Amino acid sequence: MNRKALYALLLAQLLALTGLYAYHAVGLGYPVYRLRTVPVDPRDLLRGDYVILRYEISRLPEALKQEPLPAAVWVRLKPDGQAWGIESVKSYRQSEFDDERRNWPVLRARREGSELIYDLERFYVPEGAGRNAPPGGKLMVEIAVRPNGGAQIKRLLDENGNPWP
Amino acid sequence: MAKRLTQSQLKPEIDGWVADGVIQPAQGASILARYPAADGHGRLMGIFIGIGVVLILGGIALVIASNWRDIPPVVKMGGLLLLLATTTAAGIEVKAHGLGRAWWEGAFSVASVLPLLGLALISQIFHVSGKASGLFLAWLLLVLLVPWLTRSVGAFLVFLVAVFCLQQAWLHEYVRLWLASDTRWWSDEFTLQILGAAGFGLACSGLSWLWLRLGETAQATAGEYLGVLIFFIAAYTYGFETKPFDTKTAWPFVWLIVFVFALLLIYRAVRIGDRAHQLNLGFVMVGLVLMSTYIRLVGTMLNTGLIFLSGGALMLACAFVLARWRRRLLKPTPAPAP
Repeated sequence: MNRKALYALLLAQLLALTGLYAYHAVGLGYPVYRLRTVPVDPRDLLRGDYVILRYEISRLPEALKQEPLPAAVWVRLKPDGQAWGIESVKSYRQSEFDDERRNWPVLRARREGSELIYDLERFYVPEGAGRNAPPGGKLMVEIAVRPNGGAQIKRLLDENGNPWP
Repeated sequence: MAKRLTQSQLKPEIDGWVADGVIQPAQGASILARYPAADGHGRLMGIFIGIGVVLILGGIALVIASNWRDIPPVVKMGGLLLLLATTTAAGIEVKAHGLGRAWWEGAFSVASVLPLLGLALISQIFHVSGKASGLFLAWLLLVLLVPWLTRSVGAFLVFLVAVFCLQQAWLHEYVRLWLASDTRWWSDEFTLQILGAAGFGLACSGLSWLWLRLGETAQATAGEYLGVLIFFIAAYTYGFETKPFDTKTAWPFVWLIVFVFALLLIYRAVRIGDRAHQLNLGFVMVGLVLMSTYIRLVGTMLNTGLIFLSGGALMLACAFVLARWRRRLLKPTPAPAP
């Protein structure tokens, strides 16, 4: 057994896990946007210890349903009241020169039929807390968006703007 | 690793050999002297120590679990990394100092699972909901070299579990969708997963033999057994739903293949010797296929009471015949007279 090699492997494992943690921790520092969301099914909220969320921006706009979009798409958001909605869905990342629109976030998404998946659909909660989700109420999710289009959930807010759970 | 005998355990056997004239009393005394008088702290003390350790670990786990929400994420992650570091370092040092194999096997096995827990913890803290195949691929990459560097059987089995999970996730998340797109002719998910598992089992048992080139028989045996076990479970399960073939006519062929493989396993175990676990698995599969085939054939023809009666009788007959056959095969062959 090569002790040096094993300690090097251990170091690599520790660095990889620390790096992954740091990557996600840094991701929360990017600009934050709010999205309207609802738990998919209040009777089937908890699978393990997470709540499944569905967003208003999860549904492909009617006008785009017939368009031949690839599986990987870019979704540009626009302000919609207190939250953000879909402005456009493209197969490429469109450059924006308008000063106001330049700060609108662009998200990477996977298209599955008329559904858009952002990998923001799972919110971990303390054991048992998922059953106490606001019944039928709309929740708001704060997401931090990286410049590369990746996004992370920062926190979940109830109708009154208080963090939940 | 075989548990070392103590003098008190061996003495009745030695006395018997002396009484039968197999060895002289002086030889018996010499043999006894080679073994320890007592087994460490003794069995009772061992049980107490074991219960104490379990209680302490359980207590720590409960304290952490009940305060999980209040523990800062950095502390959670730091604790897990510390656990990974101490477990791996303990395994390395215990093995380097030539201490008991069970200790470093346990340490390396636990250390191989901890990276998965680390990845899951990061997912939980940051609400990451990527694909399962990504999670298993990351786990596999993190523990890829552990079995080869440590020569730990436990770590190798954990590695195989990681490969199996990755294969199943990959089939579910990519291959299934690829087959379903463009109206390809077949995309049944159950069949895909189950045939994938059977293929993994065969590949696993075959590739595990490569350990013999490194002079490691324990890994080869463990990998081969795990592969054969997965193959049998998958192939037998596939017999219930033989898509894309006609289930009504194809299932006997599938179970016949399982039956033949079980017989080959028994034959091989007898030829090689020292493979009692494979022999047992082969007999279990033979019995299972016989019973399942019988119930499937007569299930619709007889009423429930008769199925139970005849099935029970067949099961007893199978158990009796197979047990006798197994005992005969396991009986050591007498050494030829000089």
